Amino acid sequence: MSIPCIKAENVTFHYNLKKREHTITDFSFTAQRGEWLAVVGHNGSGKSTLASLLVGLRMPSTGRIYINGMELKEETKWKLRSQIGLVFQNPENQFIGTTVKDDVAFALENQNMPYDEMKQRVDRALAMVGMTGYADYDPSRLSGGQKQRVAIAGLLALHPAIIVLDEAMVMLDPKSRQDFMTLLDELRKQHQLTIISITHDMNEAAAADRILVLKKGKVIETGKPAQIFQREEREDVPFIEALRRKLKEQGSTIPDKYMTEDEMVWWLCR
Amino acid sequence: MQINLQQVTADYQAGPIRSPEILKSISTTVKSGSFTAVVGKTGSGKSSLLKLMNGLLIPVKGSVSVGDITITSENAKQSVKEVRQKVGMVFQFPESQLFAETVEKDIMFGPMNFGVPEAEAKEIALEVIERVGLEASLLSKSPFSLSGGQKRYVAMAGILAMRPDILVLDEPGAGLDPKGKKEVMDLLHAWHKERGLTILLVTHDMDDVALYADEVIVMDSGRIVFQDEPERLFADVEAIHQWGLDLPQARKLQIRIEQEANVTLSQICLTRDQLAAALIEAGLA
Amino acid sequence: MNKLILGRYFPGDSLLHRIDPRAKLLAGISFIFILFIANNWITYLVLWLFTFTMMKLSGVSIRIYLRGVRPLIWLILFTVSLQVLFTAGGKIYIDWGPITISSFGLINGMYIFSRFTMIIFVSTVVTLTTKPIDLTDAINYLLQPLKRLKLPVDEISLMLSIALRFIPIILDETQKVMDAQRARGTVFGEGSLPQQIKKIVPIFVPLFVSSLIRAEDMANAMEVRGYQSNNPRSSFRRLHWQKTDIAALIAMVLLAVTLFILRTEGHHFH
Repeated sequence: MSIPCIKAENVTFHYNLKKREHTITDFSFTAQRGEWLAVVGHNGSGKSTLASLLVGLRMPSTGRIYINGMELKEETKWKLRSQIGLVFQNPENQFIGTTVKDDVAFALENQNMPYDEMKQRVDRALAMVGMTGYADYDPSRLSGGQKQRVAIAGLLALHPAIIVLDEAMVMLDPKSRQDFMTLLDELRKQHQLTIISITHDMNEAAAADRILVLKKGKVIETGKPAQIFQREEREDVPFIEALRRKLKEQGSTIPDKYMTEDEMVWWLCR
Repeated sequence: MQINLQQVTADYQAGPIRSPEILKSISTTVKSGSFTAVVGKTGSGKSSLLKLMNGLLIPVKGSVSVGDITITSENAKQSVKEVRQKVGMVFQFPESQLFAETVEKDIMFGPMNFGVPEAEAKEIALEVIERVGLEASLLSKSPFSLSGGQKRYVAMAGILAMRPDILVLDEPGAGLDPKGKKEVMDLLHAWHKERGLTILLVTHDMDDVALYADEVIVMDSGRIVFQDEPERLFADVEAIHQWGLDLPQARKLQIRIEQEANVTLSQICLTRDQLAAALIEAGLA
Repeated sequence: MNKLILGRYFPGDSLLHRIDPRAKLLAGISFIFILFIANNWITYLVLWLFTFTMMKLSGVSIRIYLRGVRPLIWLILFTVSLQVLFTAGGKIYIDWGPITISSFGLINGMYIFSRFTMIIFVSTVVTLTTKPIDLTDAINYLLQPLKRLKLPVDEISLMLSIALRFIPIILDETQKVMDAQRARGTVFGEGSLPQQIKKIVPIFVPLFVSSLIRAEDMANAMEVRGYQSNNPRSSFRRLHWQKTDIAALIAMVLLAVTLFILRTEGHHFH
């Protein structure tokens, strides 16, 4: 097996001041290139702290994080940052440029990249997220979904290997959320991107290859969506599983196992 | 208490940006004791419609009546203050309006602006904090020390404290996790059922419309293009797309199943439970 | 708050809009110096002609410029009346000891008035036709020599451009918070001064809190996207020096030369 794209080994983190909630305890996981990983958990489970650890905004108290085989630490973080990008929950606060294209170029400017190469990358990144026509817009005048597309373009311009989404779809309406997920999935397939999506939306988590369930800073479960959602004691499940359970309760002969939407429709139409 | 809009046209101005005719000759009635959802694309005029009912937006033409008070462009100054006490408005992310040193003082702010004596405002604060499901011990805390969800409840309590007859809300569940959102919606629904509070809310989530609303208003380019029961709205899939709206999850799945199994279920299913029942009834599950 | 025109940008595509911001900034600054060449009615007439031509060329209606002067009118009149009252010489109309109204005083007052309003008009022309961000770029460019003195010119201009990006957002937010407090029964612009001041608290505190949150988010976003304050950065924003820009500067030189020819020798007028 090749080197995992991202790997965390027994990571522990605690704030010195507030020791209670925002902590991560003995956290380990690996993600392969091109994998979509969802990290789910309630507010206060440590999800956002995890995001800031993965992108090197904070350093683990103990344990290690590797990105493409290189350890993430103070000395390497600037180098590794072009490989891992973060999309924040509130799109408004992450823009630095005054126009869409300036913002996409921000990270490239930080790399001291020559103009011609920047121009090429910015144009391409905007095309990849379907925002070419908005290059000269003021980002604050865009809709929520468009803002997150621009944010993604800002990361894609760096040709990253990993994209971390920190509840990036919370502010979007259900429709834009669906569109945004489709876009991400396409980009992932085309460019072998690893996506780590921190979320509490179970429909979003159901689309992932693998789910990590976080509780009070600890991973309490990990597995494919089918394994995670099938467990009866799990209360928040995607709509399709909730429906399956309801059918079962009403005396239907529906199989006693998790189904994707396609599988359910197929079973119903059999 | 009912709201009545007659041929209302309104401009919207925020800072230097002025959008003329954000609402174009709107007429509608929101019935007393109803739970109405307002839906529509971004920029269709939903939020402006809410502001109209609270006197934050004054009609250029036409009139807005709330109970026996009428706002027109001529009498705006006097009528607006009365209206604001009758119609409580909860903005999107209402927690961002908290400012006082304690939760109690923040909740008392509204009533005291309307001339309620301090002692009485204190009693109200105690009453409403419990109504939003928070503990009375929070009253002495700083609102900034609370969690995100708690802040939102405190902000809502601050509006309830003005004892409005009508509550208008702009996406009350925005930004909360699914559990938190359901709690907010359930609470609103309970106030509506138990106390007969008239509720009007803007939402993007069609599942909320399906689960809670008994009437839905669709806005498109500054006009009301539909007002009726949610079942009727979601029956017309073509119109839904035309207005840039979405379907509730259950309805979306129903349509897919109907197409692929080539059947028609006995009813329009807006919720999981309705869909489950209809599937069993049709012998599919 | 909405009345001040100076410092606003009006989108447009006039000749002046198209001139390079550096040329406009230089021309604007040189105009202030050129003003001091004028010392008789013919030179002031030339300047007024120039000013009006610029205002016309900007494609913005004169009424807007006049509105821009209005908030400053008391300051101007105050300075002018000082000039009028304390300048002696020529024919004396009123004489109250040190306070006199003389013909020289009146003429001087007119000149001062002209200078003031022309400075306001011309700088308004510059800002009305230049995007704030372009102006920042121009300032950054013109300040480059100061880097030798170890002045953090690039950091300052990045700071300026971020500030510019936040102004509309914060104005929007002020509007929202004001609306929210209005809905809670606050009536702005009513009551005694202390009462009015008290009403600012419910606006100011929420704005302050949200600005702090924004600032933290933004700092994180900048760091994640690889911004390090001392590293060399390239710039994606380009300024294009064209023939019209050179023509603009030549026009300023011509204006100065014309005034030199037309001005009265010596410092006194007869």
